[in-house]
Amino acid sequence: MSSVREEGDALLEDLFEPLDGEAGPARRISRQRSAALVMAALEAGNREAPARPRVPGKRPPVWLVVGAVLLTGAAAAAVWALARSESVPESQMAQSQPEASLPESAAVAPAQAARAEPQAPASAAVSTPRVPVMATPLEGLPRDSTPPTARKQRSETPTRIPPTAAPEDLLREANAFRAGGRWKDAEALYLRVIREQPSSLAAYVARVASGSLRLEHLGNARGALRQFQEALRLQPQGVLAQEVRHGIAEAWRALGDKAAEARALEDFLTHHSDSPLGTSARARLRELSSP
Amino acid sequence: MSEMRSSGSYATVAPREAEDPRIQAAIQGRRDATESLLMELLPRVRNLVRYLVRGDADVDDIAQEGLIALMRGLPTYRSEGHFHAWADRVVVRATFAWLKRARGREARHSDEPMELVAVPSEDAQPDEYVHRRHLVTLLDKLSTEQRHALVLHHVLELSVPEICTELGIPFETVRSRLRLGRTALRALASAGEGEG
Repeated sequence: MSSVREEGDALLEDLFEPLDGEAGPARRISRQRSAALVMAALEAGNREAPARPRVPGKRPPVWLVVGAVLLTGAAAAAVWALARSESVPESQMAQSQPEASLPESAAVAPAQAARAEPQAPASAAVSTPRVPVMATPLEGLPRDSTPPTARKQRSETPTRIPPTAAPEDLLREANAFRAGGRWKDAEALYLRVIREQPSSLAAYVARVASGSLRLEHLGNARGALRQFQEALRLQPQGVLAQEVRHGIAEAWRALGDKAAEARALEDFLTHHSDSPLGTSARARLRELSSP
Repeated sequence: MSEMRSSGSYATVAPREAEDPRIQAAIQGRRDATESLLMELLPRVRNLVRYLVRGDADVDDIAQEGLIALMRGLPTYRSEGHFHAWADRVVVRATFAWLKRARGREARHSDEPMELVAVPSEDAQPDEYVHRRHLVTLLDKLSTEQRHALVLHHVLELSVPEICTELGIPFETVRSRLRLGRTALRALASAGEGEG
């Protein structure tokens, strides 16, 4: 233990102990309170999929992106040139000549064309020979012919949802979209649930989910507020009433309306005084009421 | 980044934490495993937060944020180091982030009355609990910078270079904070003993 420490003395050794989960120094709390904290964390963690806040400063500079694209293009060209010169035996050169003379449109699959497109700005000289290279694996050359996975995923999921899907299935699909960060697709499914069965419990859940999605990921606080308010109007004592009332306060906060936010927080604390979110709600209320 | 804890007590406390099947189950999204894991981690998380922040008022809020950060970070956990060491690092960062956001509230907390040493607790080991509460009441009187350096070094057992990395400050600054913090803490402890 002491090998890690820079220096120390007996008094400090006595004072400090390695961290553990035993008693102290945090105040003891009841088992119920512990469970409530964990449940709230679970709910919040599940509700808010890993948020990628818009931080302009964190975005890589344009020159870096352009440089990376250029570098990638150049590397691809070099690899292509190297692989072509090494992997095609001399004896096949005569056979490969006619392939090269095939019309480009016949040799390029749409997916490959789509893949080649964003690389075009890298270099015109690089993009031109890449087209036949994409086609050569079909001839059995030992080259990586893995299809573009992103495209496969994109075309797969939406077609899986039948037009007559049950609301529960739609919610499940929406949650899957959400877990994958596809906020707009998830939002579309939530709206479909609301539209198809507006008075169902699924629609209530979808409304709340849509509200939090709009607030946290779609930059639509006004829309979020509408969803939360409607959910509260339909089911004031609903199973998600706590989230709804807190969501309303958060939406007002995002809209910059402090008076409305304070009213919403008061309403939240009145109805859910023992909520795990109560402490932060009270703290925010104090902040708002301080001059 | 390399593992935060270079050695320390965890090797003896929980040698096979990384193999806890709940970790993989939680990574795969099983709610029961996550819940069980978080319930077990919560006392440790709360203790760490209390070591790092002044007063008790915000401990549960920050601990909850720590739990959320743990949940979200689970997919990034690689079983290379001890799970607790990884979890501690996540919680430390969540705490620092919270403190950064709440900087304006620091003044209000400093006005809170200092807690008495004898804190009623139903089932705590009285000696140990009182001892730890005593320590944090002393830490509460230090500057935040010195406090963090001391806690990272003496409670989490990070080396000075590791603290440099974690806090993003130079080596000599860490050493200086540790030296000043120790001096201040010794003085506070001695004064307390004199009064007692």
